[in-house]
Amino acid sequence: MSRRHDRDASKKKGPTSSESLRSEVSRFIERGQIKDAFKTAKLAFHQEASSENRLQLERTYLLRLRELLNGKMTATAREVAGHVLSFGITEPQLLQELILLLPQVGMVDRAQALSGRLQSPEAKAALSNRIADRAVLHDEQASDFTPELKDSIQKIRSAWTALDSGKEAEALEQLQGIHRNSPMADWRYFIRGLAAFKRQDEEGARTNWERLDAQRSAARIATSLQRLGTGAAKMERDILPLEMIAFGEPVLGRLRSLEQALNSNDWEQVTSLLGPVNRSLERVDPRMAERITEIVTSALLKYCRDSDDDPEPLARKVLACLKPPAFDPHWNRFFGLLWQNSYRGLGDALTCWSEYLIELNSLSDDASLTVDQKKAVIFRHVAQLSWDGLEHLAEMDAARDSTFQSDPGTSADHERGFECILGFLKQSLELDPTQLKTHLFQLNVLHRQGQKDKWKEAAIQLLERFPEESDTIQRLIQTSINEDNPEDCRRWIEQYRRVKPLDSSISDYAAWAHYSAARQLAVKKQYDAARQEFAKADALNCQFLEPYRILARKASLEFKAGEIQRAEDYVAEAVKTLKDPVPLWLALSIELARYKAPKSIRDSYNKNFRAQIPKRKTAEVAGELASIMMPILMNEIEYTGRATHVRDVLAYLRPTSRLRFTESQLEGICHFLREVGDQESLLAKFVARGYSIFRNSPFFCYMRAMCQMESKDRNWYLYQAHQDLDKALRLAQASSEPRYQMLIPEIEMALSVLNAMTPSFGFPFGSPFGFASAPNMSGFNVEFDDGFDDFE
Amino acid sequence: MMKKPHEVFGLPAGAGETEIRQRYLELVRQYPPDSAPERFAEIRAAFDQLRDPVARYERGLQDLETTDSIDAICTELLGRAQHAGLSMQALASLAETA
Repeated sequence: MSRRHDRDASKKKGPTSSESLRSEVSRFIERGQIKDAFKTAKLAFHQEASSENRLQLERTYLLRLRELLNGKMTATAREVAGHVLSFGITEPQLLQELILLLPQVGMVDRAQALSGRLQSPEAKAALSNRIADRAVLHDEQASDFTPELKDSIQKIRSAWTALDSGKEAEALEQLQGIHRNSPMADWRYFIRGLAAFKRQDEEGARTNWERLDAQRSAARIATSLQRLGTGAAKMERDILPLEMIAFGEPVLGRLRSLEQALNSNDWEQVTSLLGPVNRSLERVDPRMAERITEIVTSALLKYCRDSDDDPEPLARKVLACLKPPAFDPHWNRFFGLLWQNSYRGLGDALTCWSEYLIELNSLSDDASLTVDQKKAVIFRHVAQLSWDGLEHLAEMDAARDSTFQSDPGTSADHERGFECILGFLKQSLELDPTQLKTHLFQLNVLHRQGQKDKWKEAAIQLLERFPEESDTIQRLIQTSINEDNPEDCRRWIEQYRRVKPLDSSISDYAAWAHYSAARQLAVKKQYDAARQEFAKADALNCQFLEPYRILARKASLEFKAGEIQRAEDYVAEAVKTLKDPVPLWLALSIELARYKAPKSIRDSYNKNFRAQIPKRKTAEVAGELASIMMPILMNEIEYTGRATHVRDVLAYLRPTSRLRFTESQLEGICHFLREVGDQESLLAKFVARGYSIFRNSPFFCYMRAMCQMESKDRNWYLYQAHQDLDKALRLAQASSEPRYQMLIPEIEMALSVLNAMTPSFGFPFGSPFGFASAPNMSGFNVEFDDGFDDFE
Repeated sequence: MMKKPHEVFGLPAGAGETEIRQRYLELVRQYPPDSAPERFAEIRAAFDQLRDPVARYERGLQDLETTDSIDAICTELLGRAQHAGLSMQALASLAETA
């Protein structure tokens, strides 16, 4: 046969020489493929039982044995150890390694039998240690050990068992008899360190464990524990063994996957993980499964609220994977919360809440409240939702009309809405009259509806429950002042005094009551009693009314009583307090009418007043006239000649817009003109004047926007109004003045209306030409019919 | 933005009455009314809301927010695993390496 043929044949069969097999074994070992290295080494020895091949096989046997032990395949390792012992190890170093490994595979007796072949004292000591370690960890092999070792093993295990039971003192006592030179000394340090670890004494644990022999079992256990204790064991592989022992399954890995899915809003993944996670947690601790429900529903609600798509399918899919909480067994509360803030509108939300109310009868989740208390809270919550819906409707109406009205309006929808809200609040109060918030909400609704009698009734009902509710008492005082009812006023002042005895406004209120009483007594011709009321008011020394106005009242009393000289003395005194007496003539005209003084006297002072109107005007007088008439109009105080006075004051004001006013004078005039109504052009002039002088006044910024929005002229600039309102809001929020703070809700309301109007133009702030025109708001209907019937 | 009552107190949303009261006393000692009136008022208002069961219930009706987290659950489970893993049998298995 040719040499070429031989060469080809050898190539087809592959490497067969011992040397190439040994090289392959080395390569396998380098790559960590121990099993393959072992097989190849056996093949090589089988082919040629040379000394090199034998040595290599012995080495790979040891490597394979170690690999199996590290993989916790003890049974297989024991089998391999048996084969090695049968095969025989000739290399002394390898034999030493084998003997030291034998205790770990449970062949203590064979290790002890071979211990004589260990050459160095260190190796013999190492074997003793390993046998001792084996003895501690596997007492089922107790018969294999010497009696001395058995005694020490018993002490160590008893100490460990006691420690497991929480008996640290007993455990440490057991360790007393173990000598420091004994192979068990390592375990003694371990147990002491473990005791410290269990009571979270890191320093104590460390001090004992740093004395352990790093080659021994106790040190391996201590290292694992220390890694866990410092939180370094974040990898699943570090804690998986403990998870399996503690829970019987890997829980933490699934939880981390769920966490990741939630953080990235991967709801498909969330739904696929929830089942297994919940099942695991139900087995570990049902309360944790409840916590997962809370976390997932919280994230789901947030996601659904922000979603542009219909969130219901996703929500139902996810919730189907969760066990409902005790407080929401059919997810009605969840969907109530979802719909109340969504485009679905009020009706769907109300339906869900009404069903939840029915469910409350059977829930037993929160024992700190009764069922009635919870229902009362929900009725108030539903009332608030309805209120928010009503305000939204008002904004839409105002936007549709391209006009602005600060009150919700009087359409049928609004009326029905108000009635529903009051109905909810009434039910809430019947269930639990002790909830102050409900009372206050009711007052607010009645006030907005202008139902003064019902408001008063509700306020009195509130004070029966909460007699120290000072804000309500103050409002009742103010109401009685506006109604010119001194008896009621005094009643509420006394109640307020009991609650806030040091409040300085009590004197002002009391003075008002005296002035009011004085008028009523004078009308009844009880002049001395009326004078006494004035004396009492004087004693209070209040500053809220200018002296001339008080003197005008006194003069009116005396004119009414027929004491002309005394009256004229008061008038003269009042004139001295003023640069220009025009405001005094108006004040006197009003008071004389209210005191029902003789007509001749009234006419005389009216004439005085009217005579001044065509004359030279001043800012001071203009401001005073407006401030006199403003409360008359605002509190709807009627008297003969009121309409004439209003016309006269308007006539005075008309040519004065260019005068140099103070900020408070201009504000007063603007308030008066708004109260009169139908004075848009005059108001606009004063607002423009105010804005030009006081550019950083939130009031004039707001008024400038309002003048545009309330104007019947459709050609106004949305953008400019928006700018003005933004500026007004910023300035008001930054101010500590109460009168500007009170403007904030009105400014916000106006902004809401503006924002409702702008989307229909498709531009951020209105059309490019800036003209407002009636947008189509049909897509923004709030149907008050939907859902309300569920509560009846 | 106004802080929620439990945020003012630095407590989790589900904190119990005893915890709330203890924290209140700590905060009031730290911010007495004469030296920190605004902060005291904030603390007092938060306390009134937190201890009132009706206010607590009502807050729960506004949203489903929770300060709990999966991370907190994992930490708690890890602690339990550590404690459970300290039995002799469990620790013995940690020693089985060559």
